[in-house]
Amino acid sequence: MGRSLKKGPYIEEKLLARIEELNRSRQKKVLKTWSRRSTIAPEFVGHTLAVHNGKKFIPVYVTENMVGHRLGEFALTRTFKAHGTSEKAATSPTGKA
Amino acid sequence: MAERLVVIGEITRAHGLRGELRVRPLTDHPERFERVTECVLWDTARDRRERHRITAARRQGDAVLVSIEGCASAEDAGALVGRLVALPEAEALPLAPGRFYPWQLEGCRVLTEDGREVGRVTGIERGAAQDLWVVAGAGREHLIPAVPEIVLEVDLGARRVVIRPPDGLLEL
Repeated sequence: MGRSLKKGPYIEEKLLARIEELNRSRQKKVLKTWSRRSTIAPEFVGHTLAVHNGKKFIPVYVTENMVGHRLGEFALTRTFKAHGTSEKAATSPTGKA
Repeated sequence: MAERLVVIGEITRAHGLRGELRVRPLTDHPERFERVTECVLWDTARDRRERHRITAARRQGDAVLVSIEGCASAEDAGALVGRLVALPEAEALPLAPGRFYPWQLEGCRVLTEDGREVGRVTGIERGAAQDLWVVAGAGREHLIPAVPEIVLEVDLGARRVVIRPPDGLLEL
């Protein structure tokens, strides 16, 4: 069952306060957080959050289409090693498929 | 120095009794097997490379069934299980501008906008949000999200990547 609409999405208060402070001062700074269960709010867009995966902090650059998801969804706790010299899965800083 | 290869598949098992090989494609375009006429079977554990002619290839589900010259029985095919099907790096399919194979980026120098050296790309981690480029330098490893706001320029010719890291990214 989903969370009650009356309550609104869960976002750790301290994290939201830090993001709002960055937005007010128009700063871009990586914020470390352990709060994987926090929902991504529109205020987070454009910031880079370092989300702990249980072992280390994974930098996550927040984009619009991530709003509504939880931070933990973007900091995987298990690693998958693919073959390094394969012709598969090209990477791109432009994010286009 | 050995020729640089790009892997397009891995032989997972023999198929049938006539020496066909079941190959797991390691390329975004498995249909290319139907056009390849020659490949290198690469045993990475012993770094043995053997050139072979591909006589036929057909798709079966997610796999590709490949026949190669000189492999006519299930025993011949079984001996090749685990080998990688590779091509010379020059034959890798060209990508759209702004896209890169992970092995093209490996070894590139990473600099900040103001010319400070961060390290060299050692690999790519697949993230759920965006790819993370692993950069090793000065005794530590950095993860750089591959987004245009942070990665400003990639110059493969000069083996150079220019980034604009937000405060704190290089201190994680």
